[in-house]
Amino acid sequence: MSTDDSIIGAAKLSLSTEIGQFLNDNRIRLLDAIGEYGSLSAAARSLPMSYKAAWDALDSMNNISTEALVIRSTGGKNGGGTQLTPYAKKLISMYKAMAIEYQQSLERLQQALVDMPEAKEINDFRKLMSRVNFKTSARNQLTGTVTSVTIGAVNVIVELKISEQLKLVAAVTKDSAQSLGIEFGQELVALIKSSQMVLQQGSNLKLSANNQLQGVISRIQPGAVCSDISVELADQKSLSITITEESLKQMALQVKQPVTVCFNASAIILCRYA
Amino acid sequence: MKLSARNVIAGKVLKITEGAVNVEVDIEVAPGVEVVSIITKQACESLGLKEGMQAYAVVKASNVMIATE
Repeated sequence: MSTDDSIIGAAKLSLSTEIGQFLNDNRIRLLDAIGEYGSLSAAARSLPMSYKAAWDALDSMNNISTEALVIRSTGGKNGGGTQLTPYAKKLISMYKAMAIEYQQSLERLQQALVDMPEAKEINDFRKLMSRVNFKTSARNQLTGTVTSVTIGAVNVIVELKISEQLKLVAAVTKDSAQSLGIEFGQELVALIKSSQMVLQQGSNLKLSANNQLQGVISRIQPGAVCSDISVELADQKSLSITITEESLKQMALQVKQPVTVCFNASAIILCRYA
Repeated sequence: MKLSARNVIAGKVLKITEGAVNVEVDIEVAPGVEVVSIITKQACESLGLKEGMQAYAVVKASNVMIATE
C-alpha cells in the first residue's frame, strides 16, 4: 500500500512563498546550523549535507527573499565565515513556532477525520496543492517589482527592481504579459537559465545585452566541457552561469575576480504568484 | 579573450529594421553570409548602431543549433 493514500501523516512544514518552496525542514536546519557554527562548511557537515547543496540552498534563499538571510565574508585564515542576518534569526523562530502550530492542527484534523468519507478528498486536495507548487530547473530565480512596462506590437519590455542596486530588463510577448496581468508595482519572479548568460571581464566591447550586472566570482566548479560559475552581485544576490571550460581558461577566471554578467532581455522567463 | 561567448564574429551592419520595442539587425559576416539579431530598440540606441558600421555577432556556444541533411 502506498503511503500516499494514507490520511495526513506527519506534518512537514514548508513555507511556500508565492514562488515555491522557500523554507523547509532542511533549509531551516541549515540556517540554524549556520547560526551555531558561523561557517557554511561546518554547518553543512553537521547536517550532513554536501557543501555544494548547502551553498545552492543559501543562494536560492537569498535570491528569493526580499531581505538577505546570510552574509558571507571572504578572506581570513579559515576562508571567511557565514553569518545569519537578524532577519534570518527572526524567520527561524517564526518557522519553529509555526511548525508546532501546524503539527498540532494536523493532529486535530486527523483525529476529526477518522472514518469520515471526506478524508480522501482532503488528501487529494493536499496532493494537488503540492503539485501546483511546482519547482523549476532554472537555477537563477530573482524576485522583483515591476517598475516599468513598455508595450510594443508583439513584445513587451518589463523592468524589474530586484533590490536597491539591481535592476533586470525582461522581454516577453504581449500575450504572455496579458496572461500574467503584468502591471506597475507587481511582484514577479524572473527565471534565467544559466546557459543563457555570458561573462565579460575588462573588455571594451559594448554589448547589446539589456542586462549587464556587475559582480564578483564567488565559486568556480570546473567540468570536462562546461564550468559552473557563481557570481555574487550587489545586495547579496547571486547568479550561476555556465561557460565552456575553454572560456574559463582563456579568460583566466578566478574566485574574487570582478566580472560582468550579460544576458538578453529575452533570456528571462517571468512568473507570477498564483 | 575578455568575453566568455565562444562565437564572436566580425561583420558589417547591413540593415536595421525598427519595430516598436525591438530592432532587427542584419550583420554581414562574409560576402553573402548574414547573421540576424533581434535586440531591443534601447540596446540599439545605446550602441549607436547604424547601417554600414562594423559590429560583432556574439553567440554563446550553448545557443547554436546544429542541423544535418
